Amino acid sequence: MFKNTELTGGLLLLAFGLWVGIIAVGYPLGSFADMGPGIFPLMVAAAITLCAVPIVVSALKPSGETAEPIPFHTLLVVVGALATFAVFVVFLGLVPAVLALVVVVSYPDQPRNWVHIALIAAGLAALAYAIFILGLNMNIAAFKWGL
Amino acid sequence: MMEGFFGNLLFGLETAFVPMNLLYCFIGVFLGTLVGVLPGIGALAAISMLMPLTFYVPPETALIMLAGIYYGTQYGGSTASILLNLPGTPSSAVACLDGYPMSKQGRSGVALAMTTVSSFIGATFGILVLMLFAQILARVGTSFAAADYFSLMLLGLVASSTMASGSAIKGIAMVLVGLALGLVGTDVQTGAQRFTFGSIQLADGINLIALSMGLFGVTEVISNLAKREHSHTVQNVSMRSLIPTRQDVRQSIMPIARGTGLGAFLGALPGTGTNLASFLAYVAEKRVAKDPSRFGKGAIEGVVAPEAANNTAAQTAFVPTLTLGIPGDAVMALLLGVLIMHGIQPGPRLISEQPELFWGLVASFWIGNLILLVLNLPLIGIWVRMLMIPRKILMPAILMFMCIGVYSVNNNVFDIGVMIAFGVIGCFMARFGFEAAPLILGFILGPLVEQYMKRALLLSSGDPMVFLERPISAGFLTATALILIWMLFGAIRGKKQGITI
Repeated sequence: MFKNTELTGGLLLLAFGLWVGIIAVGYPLGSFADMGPGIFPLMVAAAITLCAVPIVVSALKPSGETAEPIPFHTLLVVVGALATFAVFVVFLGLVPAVLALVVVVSYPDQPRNWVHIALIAAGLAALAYAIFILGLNMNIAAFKWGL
Repeated sequence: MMEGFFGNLLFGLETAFVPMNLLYCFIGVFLGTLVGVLPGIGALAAISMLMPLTFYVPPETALIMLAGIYYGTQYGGSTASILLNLPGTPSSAVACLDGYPMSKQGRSGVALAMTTVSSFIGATFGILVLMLFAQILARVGTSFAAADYFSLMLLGLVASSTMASGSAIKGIAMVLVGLALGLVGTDVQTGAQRFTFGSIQLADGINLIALSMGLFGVTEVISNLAKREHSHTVQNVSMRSLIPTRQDVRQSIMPIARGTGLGAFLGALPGTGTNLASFLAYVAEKRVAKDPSRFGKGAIEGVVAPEAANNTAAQTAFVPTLTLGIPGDAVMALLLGVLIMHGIQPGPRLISEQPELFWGLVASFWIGNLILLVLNLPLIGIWVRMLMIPRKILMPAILMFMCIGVYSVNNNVFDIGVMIAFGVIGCFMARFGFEAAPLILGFILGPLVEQYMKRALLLSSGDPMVFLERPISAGFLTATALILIWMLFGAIRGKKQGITI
């Protein structure tokens, strides 16, 4: 299924359009003079579905064009780094969150140089502290423990 | 007319010269040049990253900074093209064709200097066009009724999504997906919760900053990190090497003039924007050249004309955005999004209701371009060295700024989650050949489209013919239909014929 990306993309779009449409029908539709909350979403859903059909149809004969594959490994690393930041900033504060973010992003580096990573992490944490807490006075704790 | 022209300019300069606005203008063009120089990070990602900061300043200051990033990237974009054969921004991809050969001939200094000068000339002309047309268009716009707005927005959305690169139908599909995402949250008219799935976090809708940071920032970082290149070595550019010969200057005058004219026109149209302007300017120069074989081997015309064109287009793109509230591309849509976040309704009344904002912004363009001239001529060496920053430092830094920025908007980790989700979705969209820019356009304009549609139908007591009976609205709808028909014919006749350079 993943080989024909045109088809996969078109089918996902079709599914999205139908899904939006099914939810929209659940909202009051009203009349043209007094439009309810459901009517505009229903129109959008119909239009998405309409767009998806020709994409799916034209994808049935493969054209051989292929886009760049998704770099799943990098995707995982970046998502992991962002999620780590999110968890750390809530429970431990800004400085640990930045340190953890840098460590996770840099972990797959080849060759992995812990001295460099530590220096980058410390430097960025200091920068974040200076800009956001000292400079902009944002309401984020630099360090904390628990919620 | 002329009196009003200078009066408005002076009025705007008063706002633009407020120290805080000067500072933010400088920050904007500085960062713009920086992200322009660095390949792989574009204006969209940079603007999304700085949007959280704009909550700390008045709307005009916010816009001055964000607009500065946009036109600043146009200046910086050609630097990496010329020195490394790597376009810093999509619109400076053409600058590689003759700029890099010039660099290999040891004339990189001349190429960099002449692109900066042509950028400045183009931008200056673009601002003049903006000032002249803004008032005229805004006056026309005040006679619009709700139905006319609806049709105009429809035209804007269809035009900008079909003209964009890639498949037209996918562009429209992405606008529609953006419209659907814009529905999430509380319906303004009825108070109904739509697509929130019982989540309080979604009651205010999807956060624009988290959405655009995910689609543009996270995906760009991922594709950058995946490339695994190492930092570049760049030849140094001395002050002396910047000075062009008399022949260089003579050869550049007409190409700059042609590029500027082309850019002014294309910039003001929805969807054409800076990329097409620089591309067509290059093609035009090659057509009119006495000896087209010089192109691709370091012809200065092939560097200055596209650069003049994309900088002019970057300024005239503000005409429809600020006078009618119709953004021509995703960057303009983000700027409108910032206005809406500050509670300002974009549209033809913007100039009369927010004169400080409009004229202050326009005046800041002059100041910003002057700063850019200084940043890019005597200080070019700094930017050249910026190209040597290792990605090991740059990418974590960008991720950090994105995280803190998104988190700081509401002090809410939910927004980081939204950013992550759209970062992943953005990667899949790219894989399936769907572009993110039209999605942002739909997302920002969606609520306005719905509002105008409801209002028009309410006033006509439910008669949908109102959209065809008003001549202005009918005109816009006809234009929309023509674009759609043209698109369909294009699809039937086979794949788009690529223009060969």
